[in-house]
Amino acid sequence: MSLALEAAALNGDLADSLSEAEKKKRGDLARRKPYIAAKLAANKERQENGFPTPVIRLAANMLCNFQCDHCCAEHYMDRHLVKLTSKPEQRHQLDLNDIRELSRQADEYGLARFVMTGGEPLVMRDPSFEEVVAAVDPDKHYVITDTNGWFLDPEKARHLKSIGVEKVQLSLDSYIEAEHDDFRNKPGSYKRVMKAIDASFDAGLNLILSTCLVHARVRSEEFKNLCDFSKRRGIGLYVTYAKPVGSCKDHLEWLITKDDADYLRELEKEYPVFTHMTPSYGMFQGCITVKGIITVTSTGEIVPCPYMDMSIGNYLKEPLKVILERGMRNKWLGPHRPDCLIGEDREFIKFHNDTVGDRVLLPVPYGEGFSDADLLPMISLDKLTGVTAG
Amino acid sequence: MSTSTMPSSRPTATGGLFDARGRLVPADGELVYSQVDRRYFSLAQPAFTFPGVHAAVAKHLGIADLDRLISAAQFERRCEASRQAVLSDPGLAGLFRGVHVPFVLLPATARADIGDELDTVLLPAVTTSYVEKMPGFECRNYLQGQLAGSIPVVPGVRYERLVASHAKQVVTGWYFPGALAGYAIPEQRRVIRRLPEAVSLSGPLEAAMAFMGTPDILMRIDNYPSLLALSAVQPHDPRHFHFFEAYGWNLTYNQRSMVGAVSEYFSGGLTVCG
Repeated sequence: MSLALEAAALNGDLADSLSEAEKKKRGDLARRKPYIAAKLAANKERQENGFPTPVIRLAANMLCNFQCDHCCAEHYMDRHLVKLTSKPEQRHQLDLNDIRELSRQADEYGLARFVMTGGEPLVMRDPSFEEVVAAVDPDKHYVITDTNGWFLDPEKARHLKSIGVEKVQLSLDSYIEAEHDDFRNKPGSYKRVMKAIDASFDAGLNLILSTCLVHARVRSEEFKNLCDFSKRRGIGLYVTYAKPVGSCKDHLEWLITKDDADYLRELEKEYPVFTHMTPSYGMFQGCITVKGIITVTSTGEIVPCPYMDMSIGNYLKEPLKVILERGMRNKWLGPHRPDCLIGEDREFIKFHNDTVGDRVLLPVPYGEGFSDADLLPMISLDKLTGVTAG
Repeated sequence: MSTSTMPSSRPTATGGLFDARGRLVPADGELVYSQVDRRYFSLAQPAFTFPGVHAAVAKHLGIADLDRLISAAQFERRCEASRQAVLSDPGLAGLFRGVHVPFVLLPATARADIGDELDTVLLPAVTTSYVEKMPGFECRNYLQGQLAGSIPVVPGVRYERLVASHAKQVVTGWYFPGALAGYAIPEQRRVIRRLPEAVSLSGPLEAAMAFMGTPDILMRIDNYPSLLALSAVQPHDPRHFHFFEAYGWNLTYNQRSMVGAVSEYFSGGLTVCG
């Protein structure tokens, strides 16, 4: 199950439609971490009342041991900035107090999920991965980590479980070993992913595979084989469409078409394949910008999607709640829509890429990309029901 | 419908109430996503023939002697007369620049309750019609078993007329699913007041019949079609509205919350009977 679908899958009032495995998983979480389970169970009601319930991807720092062709985070990394400016990042970087404050505000707002991301989270330094997880607080938030799997051996997997990580999202970009290694520019990385799968299972971590889909790959034998593998191993395959940002900016030919997206929707009937638009238990979330996902960069900027380089605000300067609720009013980000905004809507892609241009320091601050000019009128809960929102 | 029963609408500066794509031009202050629809979410005119729609309805509702209620030729004549009436009104004529789908709604399917009729008769027939037209794909009612007694008609949107007529006689007409593209659901219910009496807000009965006769209304290969709100009815939860929506090459009937930002993706429909 994808990160985006976590909320839907963990909603208590949909329990009748859940698989036995899912019920067991929820029951286990409710026993071990009732506070988190209760917050997750409240998500559906919050969504119906117009509130965002995003998983928070936290890029506490941007170190990485890989240099992938398609990376959307490369432009945030010191190694990139040094190439362009001869200097590493000069802006304030999140420290542990900043992260504790983010965790506090998120908890206060009812949010329940953090994803450690980067870069490669397992090579985080100053602060370390363990310090960041502790600052987020795995007793208050369901903690997931992204990883390329390089360092995820059995010992590390057990360690992650012991410090409160619940789930691992492991990147696998081809079922053909040479292709994955080539795409990731890291010989041996495919074998490490395969070992990391077993290590995660053995440690009792929940696991999904994450794969980046480009147009040419959609109907390939290789992708079908990866779907087969996921089904055979009982692992959800979270598919992210290639986006024309970061290192992919000049590769519009990588974008999937509507026909590709529909083909993928058909695969969902046969395989445990998900995108962030995939419905779960009758809930159609569509594009989850702000509504179901945000990324917090190492400078405290909130971007509404992992693949956008435009901020909707900085939580070090104004409350997270204010930023999120403004994001929900943004004409691109707030309204329900069935497609992937940054992966499919060419008008938005042009707006995004024209705005980002050749800027060195990303993301583009609020007001210079997304701005108050984008705000829409709202249909408020209290007008419909007489109930005061809060 | 005859021309005489249709009060003339107030033309706009462009000569009508509807734009070049059949969308109602928003008035100042109306709650819409944008004044001008960029048509990112849009519909394409599906092909239909009156005999084809008639045959599909007869087959999927299991009414072998549909001709005794209305023949294909009568259906076509009534719809064509209705079309001419609309086209002769300078304000309304633009409706036919947008997607338009004929429907025939039969007293034989009428129940005391709209939800019951949808759940037990109409949506199952939409499903078989859809699957026949699009083999290998699905049509799914996510509210199956939950509809009876759950969707009263919204007062003031002229839908009561259609429901009342349906109980007594064959109702024919046109469903214009894209006419209120980008209008907030509450605004769809208000805007009907500034439209001629002949027009009502669309609801689930005639929309279901339109899908039964022309199942590919939402079938798009290259673009995402709009979500088709059925705003003439209101579920008991005031946050919710009902709709038809494509999921890829599949069709769904479902509900969701309308609370939040006005959506470009939602389209209300208008209906003209005649």
